Amino acid sequence: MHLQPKFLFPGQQENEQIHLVTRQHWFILFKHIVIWLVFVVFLFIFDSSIAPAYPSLSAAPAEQFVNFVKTLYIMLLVAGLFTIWVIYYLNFQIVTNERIVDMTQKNLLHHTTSELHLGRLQDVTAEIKGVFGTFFDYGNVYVQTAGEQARFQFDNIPDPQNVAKLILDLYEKLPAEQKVLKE
Amino acid sequence: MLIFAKLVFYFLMSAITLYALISVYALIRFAQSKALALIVSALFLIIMLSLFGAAVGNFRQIPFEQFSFFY
Repeated sequence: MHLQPKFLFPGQQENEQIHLVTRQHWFILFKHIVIWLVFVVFLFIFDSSIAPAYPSLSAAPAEQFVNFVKTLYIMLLVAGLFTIWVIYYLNFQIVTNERIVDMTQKNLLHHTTSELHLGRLQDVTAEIKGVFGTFFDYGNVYVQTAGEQARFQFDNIPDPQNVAKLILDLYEKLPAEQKVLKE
Repeated sequence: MLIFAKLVFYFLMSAITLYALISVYALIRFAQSKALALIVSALFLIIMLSLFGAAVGNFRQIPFEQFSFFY
């Protein structure tokens, strides 16, 4: 979802205006949670099908051991859900009147911040593909640059076409001296 | 062997605790909204502490002497 651009981000320049802060579409988070739910269902399958089939698991001394394993399993499930949400929350992109900032959290211990000055923009492409992308209006935006990083990529963001349009409009508003001459 | 089981248990708990603390740190360090990060982290830690307590309780209830392979 597009957030209200009212807050500051680290490294923001003076007089720099935030026009957009965006993350992956909520459906991507939903898909990850559905996969996580499959592991939750294992617990219910165990209680409803496996435990009744093996009565010894519900009697001492196995019962206490099974309870212990189930508690450990639930701890891992909770940690997994928290990780899914943290990775989703910490991956976002910011579009200002001067640049594009891409905050990427690849895993808990790998955080990258990439910046692209709008003046180095060469091409912007919006892409929507697949059934869910079409119905929920999310997709990718590719930003071709003249910099060291050849292509900036926004993955699975909502309303990619308007995001691409916004970036192009901001580029057009840049003073001519800030634009890198296109080859 | 009971001591071995305890060592394994505390090693597992330490690993899970370390993972939880690292994930909380990453969230608080890089989050846009520190308030949201703190609230979610607090909720997560409360749940994990409760589960940790339950795990310790369940572990202490295991009658290791009745498992023949422990002795």
